Amino acid sequence: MSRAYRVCVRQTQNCIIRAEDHVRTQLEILEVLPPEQMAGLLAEELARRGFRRDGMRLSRTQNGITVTVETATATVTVAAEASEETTIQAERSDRAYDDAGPHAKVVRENLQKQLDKDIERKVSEKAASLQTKVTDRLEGELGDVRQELDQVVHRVTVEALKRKAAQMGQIKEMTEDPQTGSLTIVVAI
Amino acid sequence: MDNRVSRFEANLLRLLWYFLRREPPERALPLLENRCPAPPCLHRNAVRLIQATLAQGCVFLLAQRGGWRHERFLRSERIVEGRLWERTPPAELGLTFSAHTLHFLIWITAHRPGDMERPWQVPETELTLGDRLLLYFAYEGLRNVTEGLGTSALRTQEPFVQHALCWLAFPEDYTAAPTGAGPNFTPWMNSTGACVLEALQPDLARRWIEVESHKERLTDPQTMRALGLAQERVLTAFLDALEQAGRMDLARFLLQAAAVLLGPHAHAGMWTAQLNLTGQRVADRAAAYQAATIFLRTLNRLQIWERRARGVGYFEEGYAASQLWKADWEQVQGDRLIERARTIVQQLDLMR
Repeated sequence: MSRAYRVCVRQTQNCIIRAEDHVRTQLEILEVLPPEQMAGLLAEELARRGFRRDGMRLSRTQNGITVTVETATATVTVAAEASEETTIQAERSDRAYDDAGPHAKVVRENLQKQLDKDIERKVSEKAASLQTKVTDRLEGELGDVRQELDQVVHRVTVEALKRKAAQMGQIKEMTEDPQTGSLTIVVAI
Repeated sequence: MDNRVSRFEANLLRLLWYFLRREPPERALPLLENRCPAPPCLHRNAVRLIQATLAQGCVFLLAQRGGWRHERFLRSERIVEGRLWERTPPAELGLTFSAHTLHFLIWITAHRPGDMERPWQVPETELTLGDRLLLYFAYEGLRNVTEGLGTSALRTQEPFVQHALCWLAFPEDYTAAPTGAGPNFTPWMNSTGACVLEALQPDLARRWIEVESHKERLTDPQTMRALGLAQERVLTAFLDALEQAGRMDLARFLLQAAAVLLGPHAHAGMWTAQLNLTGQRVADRAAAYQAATIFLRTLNRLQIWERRARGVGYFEEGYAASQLWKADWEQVQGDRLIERARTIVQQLDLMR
């Protein structure tokens, strides 16, 4: 009488899962002053808001979101990334006609293949889950970043207008309405 | 005159007539599907008929497509008005066909477009303008009826992979073009080549309207990205070549297409309505939107030309070209179009 043997294959895999997402846009900076001066003003305003300079780039990381601005081209990249160390376990079992003979070997090999697929699937699921979190985080922060960048552009334009006015003549009066964001400069030429 | 030809030659002539729109597709399709063994050489009668068909057919088609139109184009630093043969003396509009045309016709009669055992491959730079024009008409005819017979294989290999006119008229066919290969616009930028582009302006405008309108029905972001990339490749190469040759007027069809697409009620949905972006990363969504709006973004470059043209004085080089471009821009109310294009691009900017 033949007996069936239970063949069990178990595998544990440690892996680091990474997810990244980003969006890029261009700030609409009016050319009130020459481009290099506008880039300088933009860099000053960003530095005032806690951005760190790295050559022609300024960047800041807050709440897991990194905002990078290339002042020469006024290109903004908002990026979020995350990594997670995870342990994935999988187990498969089947029956073989022998204990350590040729059939058990075949069964073990088949189980190993299935296990590899299981682990691959679990890694993909975890990666997709982490990716969703990262994308959601980025989307959640985009509104605030957008608002702040609008303020940056506004401040840069105001500062550029002041300097331009000063170049044109003597500034007699300057009124700024913080509610509407309008700026009135009276210049004596 | 003895006009008798063999079966193979009759098939070849019928295909040529189809490429030159003198035969309906239903008569050409069986010939394209069935292979017919090529003879060692063609009879003199057949060669004479091929020559006559090429000479009359290509010219007729060019005239029919847009050469007949009363238009204004540049001729060596001045604006000339009239039909194509009035703008340039007919003697200067001659097309030359090399043996490559004949070899192509023999090959397409003896093989299916997708036959890979003996593909027809010739370096694009070896072709004459006549060869290139015939290949354009042939490709247009083939893509309409024989996608199943492997026409897609043609555009990934020489000479079609570099055929600038095919790229420009059918950018959606070049989404799988190898990265290293791109359109070669050099032959189309001066003399007769530029005249051909002038005649084909209505065709090109119609094609770009079709391609852009089709985006509304695209659902797969990857397809959109591939299409946008192909459009960007061809438009960049085309506009670079035009700038270098000082022939901005040859980009008129882009303005005409924009005028149709960017009506008063144009909105972002006309480019992205069916795009399925569920579960996509922000970066992928942004890339899909960017691809969808490549044509609209290109209008910025056309506006830069217009702004530059405003500053060109009467005694400066490029005055006529500048005046013509300004007139083209004003005719389609370019400022209004660019404003609408920018609004749509902004609506699809995830940071706004």
